[in-house]
Amino acid sequence: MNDFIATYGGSILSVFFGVLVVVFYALFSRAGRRRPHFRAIPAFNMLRGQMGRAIESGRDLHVSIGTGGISGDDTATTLAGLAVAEYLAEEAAASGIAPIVSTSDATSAIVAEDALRRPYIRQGNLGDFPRGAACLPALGSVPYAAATMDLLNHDPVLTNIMSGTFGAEAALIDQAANNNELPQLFGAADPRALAVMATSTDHLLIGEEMYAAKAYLRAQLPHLASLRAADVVRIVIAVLIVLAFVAGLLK
Amino acid sequence: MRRIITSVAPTVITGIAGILVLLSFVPPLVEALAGLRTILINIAIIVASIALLLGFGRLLNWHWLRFRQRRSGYSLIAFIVALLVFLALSFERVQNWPNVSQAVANLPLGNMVFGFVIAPIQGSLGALLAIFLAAAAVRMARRHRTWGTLWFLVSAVIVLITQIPPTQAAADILQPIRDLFNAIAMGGLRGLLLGVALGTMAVAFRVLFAIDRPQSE
Repeated sequence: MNDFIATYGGSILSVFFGVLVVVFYALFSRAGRRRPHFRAIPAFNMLRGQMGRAIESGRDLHVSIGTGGISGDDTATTLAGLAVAEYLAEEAAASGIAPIVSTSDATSAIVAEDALRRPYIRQGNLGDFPRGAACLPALGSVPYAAATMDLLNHDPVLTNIMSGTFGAEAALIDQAANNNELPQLFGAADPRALAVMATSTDHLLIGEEMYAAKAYLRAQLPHLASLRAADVVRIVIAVLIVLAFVAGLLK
Repeated sequence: MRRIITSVAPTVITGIAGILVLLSFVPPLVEALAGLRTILINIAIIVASIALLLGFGRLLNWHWLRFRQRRSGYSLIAFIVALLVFLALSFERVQNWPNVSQAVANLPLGNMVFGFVIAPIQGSLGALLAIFLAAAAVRMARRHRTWGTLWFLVSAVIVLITQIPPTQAAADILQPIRDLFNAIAMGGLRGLLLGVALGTMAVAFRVLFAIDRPQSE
């Protein structure tokens, strides 16, 4: 039994998840049906209107998507982090100002630049797009943290948003943000980074919350369906863990 | 035509490549698709290498612009040092041609740059990290005087003391408390990792089936 679960468990869960997404999408898109309700995540409320405040104050929004790339283990985390930058770029496109998006990975920088450019294309004002909005201050996690500290210390930044792949080096960036009394939003999957940032900001996206960014910020049906499917799979796994525990006790 | 190149083709290529790699991990197909997976991963490595080269140009450009806008003098230092190191290591690499499999850090100049410059600087930043963490804990205690903060600080102190116990008696008293904290932390960590795994699955699903298209317009 254990061998079967170890060999096929992941595949079965993936197929189950896929089927659930399709089922929930069909359910949610039925005419007249109310949209599903999810618990509130206060950190996302902080994001709304940030770009407007940045434009009014003449300062920049710094969005860090972390040190992960899009060709390795961190791909999903980086893409989840990028969703926040995309949302802010959408808000900014009409004004011709884009958030400063930084990363320490060359592949992520290219994807981030493209994600920032897309809203300008959709709104037909590509000429206003500030090229180089996605910057690469350093290659490597610790040099990146040092370069980002310099950015926060010397550039006119209104808010520091970090959402993506981070390790304990996030504490260095956090220190610079605190020295400049910048409000912060932080999302990560790494427990070390989360433990560090829990000390300085209340606006935390903990693990799975970061991956839900698109569903919360855009509320499109496929994203809501995938979020609901993840909730159901989580409950199923939790029940299976409890059953396995009880079965172990009874043995 | 433009739409096919910038939107449809990247989405289709990503979807097919992603599904093939995913299927190559499913047990009955592992052997059949292993060769194809290797080819796809090699292509990804080549593309990532080109991206790294472009990224280096982007890094230089960013620091040069910051210096020209008089935002930070450190950017000029970063620009000059990055360029010098790139040229020096490239020169050393060319000198060792065709022995390209040797790691840069094993070459004399590369060893000097990594061993005597990068490693000590990163080490000193790492040492600063401990101080910043302590400062963050103090800041937290001043900002939020809640039971949660107290719990956080007490557990941090106990973990620190049990890591290097001052006396055996202290270790004997505090170790059971540390074990309790470890058990609670492990439960929380597993919950977090479960959420991360499901989130990763959701993002992957959306990219594979073109719901999210980070690679196309």
